[in-house]
Amino acid sequence: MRPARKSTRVRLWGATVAAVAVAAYCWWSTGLRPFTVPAYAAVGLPVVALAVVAAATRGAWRRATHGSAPGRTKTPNLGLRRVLPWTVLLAAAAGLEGAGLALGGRSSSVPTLSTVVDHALAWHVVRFVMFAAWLAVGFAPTIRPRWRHRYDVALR
Amino acid sequence: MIVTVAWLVLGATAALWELVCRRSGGRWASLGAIGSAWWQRLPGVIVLIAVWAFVGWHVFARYTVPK
Repeated sequence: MRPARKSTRVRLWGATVAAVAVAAYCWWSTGLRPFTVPAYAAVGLPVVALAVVAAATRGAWRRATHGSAPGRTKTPNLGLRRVLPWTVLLAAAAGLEGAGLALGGRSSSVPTLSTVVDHALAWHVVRFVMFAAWLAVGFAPTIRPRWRHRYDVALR
Repeated sequence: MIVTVAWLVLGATAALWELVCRRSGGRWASLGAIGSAWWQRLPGVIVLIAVWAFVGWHVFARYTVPK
């Protein structure tokens, strides 16, 4: 077998095993009772892992996005106009959340985002999907630094 | 009920707008681009991880299924 093909196979197996392990963790952690130490710990473990991975990969990410020369570092220019629609959406969400909280947070006529989400969390499979999505969002910037390079190129 | 629909509309709008931003060729900043910009500096990384952690604990460790 050629070394390149063997390497691809090993990587594929590794990715499959990792995906199954993460899925199993998502299923287990979303089956825990809320407001218990295991439930807090099940969320805390990925948080600690992300902090460690972020610290370990920051150097690699900087090199992938800016090169190793110190003078090449460039902060992407976001600009107020380009983020304005997000600001409007955030303001609308803050308004709804504020109104819901002002009414006690558990109002059926003006529910907070948490109350709306809580309805969906009644099903284990929904919690599983949401937990997996939460993990994906958190770890996305650390898994493939080159992916983020595309965004930075688009911002320049 | 109206506010629940408003939340769903807001979520759908955000998802749709993210797609528009990603296809705009850099004209509009997507959430990915905003996150990427924040991720470049240590305070930004700390804030992003803190927000992500808060969402995780709030949603998955502190939820109450309505009766």
